[in-house]
Amino acid sequence: MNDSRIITKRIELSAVKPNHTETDIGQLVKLAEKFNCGVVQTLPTNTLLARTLIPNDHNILVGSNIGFPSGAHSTAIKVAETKEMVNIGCDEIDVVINLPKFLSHHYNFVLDDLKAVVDHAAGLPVKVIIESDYLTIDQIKKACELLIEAGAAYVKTSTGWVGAGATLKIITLIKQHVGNAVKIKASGGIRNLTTILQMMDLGVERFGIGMTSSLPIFEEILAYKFDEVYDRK
Amino acid sequence: MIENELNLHQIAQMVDLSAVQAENDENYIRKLIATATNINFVALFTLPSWISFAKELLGENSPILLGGAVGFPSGGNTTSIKVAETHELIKLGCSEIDVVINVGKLISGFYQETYQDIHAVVEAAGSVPVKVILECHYLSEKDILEGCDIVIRSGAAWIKTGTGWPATGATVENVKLIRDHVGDQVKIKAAGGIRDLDTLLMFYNLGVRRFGIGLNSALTIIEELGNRDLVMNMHMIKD
Repeated sequence: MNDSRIITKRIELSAVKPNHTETDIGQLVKLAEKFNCGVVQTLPTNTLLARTLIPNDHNILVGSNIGFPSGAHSTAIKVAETKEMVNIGCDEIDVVINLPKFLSHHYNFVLDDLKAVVDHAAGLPVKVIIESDYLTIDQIKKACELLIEAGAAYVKTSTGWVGAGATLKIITLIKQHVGNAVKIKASGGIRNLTTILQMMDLGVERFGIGMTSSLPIFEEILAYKFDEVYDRK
Repeated sequence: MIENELNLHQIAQMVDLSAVQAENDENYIRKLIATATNINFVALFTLPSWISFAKELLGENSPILLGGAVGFPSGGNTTSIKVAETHELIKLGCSEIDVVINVGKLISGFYQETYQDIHAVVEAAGSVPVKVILECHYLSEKDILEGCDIVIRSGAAWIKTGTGWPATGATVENVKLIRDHVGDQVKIKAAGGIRDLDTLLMFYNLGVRRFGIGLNSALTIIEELGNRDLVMNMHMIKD
C-alpha cells in the first residue's frame, strides 16, 4: 500500500451526533468509499442503514457505538445493544466505559460491565472509550488496566461529544502505560494530517474522525508524499 | 402578567432535579438525593445505572418520584433498546420516563418511523407518564412542529425541550412555538439552560409546568426565593 491508504485505512469516519440524517449516512458511506476509509461509525439507529449502503465489492467495515455517549446504561442494556449490533452485521463495537461508576471507584462493576460486552461481541473487536477529558492521569492508567483485563482490543480516547478529545500528551501517556497489550484509537479533535502522523509515530492504530471535519484532512492526505511515511519507521 | 407569588413548595413541586451528565459520580448523586429530600422536589432524574442506588437511598415510601432517561442523550438507539430500557427502569422503580426522540429520523422527515419509536416507548411505559425530549437545539421550526404532532399522536403526557447536553435547550422562542401549537393537549417541560428564578418564572408564565434543573441551579433558585438558611444547609451537605 504505497499510497494514501496507509493512512486512510486507519480512519474510522464517523457520524455519531443526534442530528445526522439519512442523507448524511449516505454521504458518510460515499466519503468512506471515495477516500478508502477502513471503517464507518454511526449511532445504532443508523448502523443497519450504513451496512446496507456499502456496496458488496467494498470492504469498508461498519462500527457501532454502545452505551453512547455517557456509558451509564445498565450492563443488561449494553449487552442487548451489543447483541443487536452483532445480529445486523456490525463489524466492530465501540463501547463507553461506565464513566460515573468509574469516577466513583466502582472498578469491579466497570470491569464486569466491559467483560459482558466483550463476551457478547461474538469475537468482534471491542474498543473501549475512556472519555479521557474527564480523567486524571492515574484514572487514565486505571481505565486502561480494566479494559485490558476485560479483553478489549482497543483503548479509544473520546466520544467526540465533550472536551478536547485526543491530544499528543494523552496518547503518549496511554502508549507508555499499555505498550502492546491493547491497540489505540485516537478520536475527538483530530483536524489535520500533521496530528495524524505524529500520533502514528506514537503508536496510534486507528483514528476516529467526524465526517463534518474530514474533507480538509482527506485533501491534505491526497496531497502528501507517502514515501516519507515509510521513511519515518 | 408576571407570576411571582409562587412559594418554594409550589416551585419545588414543578422541578425535576436532574443529574444526567456522565461525570455525576456517586457523591454527586448522594447530594442530589439529600437536596431533593430536604426541599421536596417533585422528581429526581439520574442516568440509568444510578437508578437502583437512587431508589435505595430514597427508600420505599418517599414522595419523590424517580425519573428514568431512555435513549439518552442521543435518541439514536434502536426502538427495541428504548423499549428494553423503559421496561428495565420501571421495574427498578421509575415512575416517570423521559425519552429522547429519534432526532435524525425526525430531521430526515421519517415521521412515521419517529412516531413508531416513541409510541413503542409510551406503550411499554403503560400507566407511567412519558416525556418526549425533542432536543430543540438541532431542530428547525418545522421539525419542532412535526415533533409536537408526533408526541401528541403517541399518547405521551409531556413535551420536553432538551436533554441539557447540547449548548441550548429551552428558549423563549421554542417554548412559545410549542405552546401555541400543542395548546392543552400535552404539558410542557422546559429543560436545558434554566439557571435562575427569573428564567423559571418567565417559562412558567408561558405555560411550562415542569422544569428540568441541575443541582447547582436549583440551589441558586432556592436562594433567590429567600431561603438562604436552607441553601447554607444544602451546601454543607454538598461539601
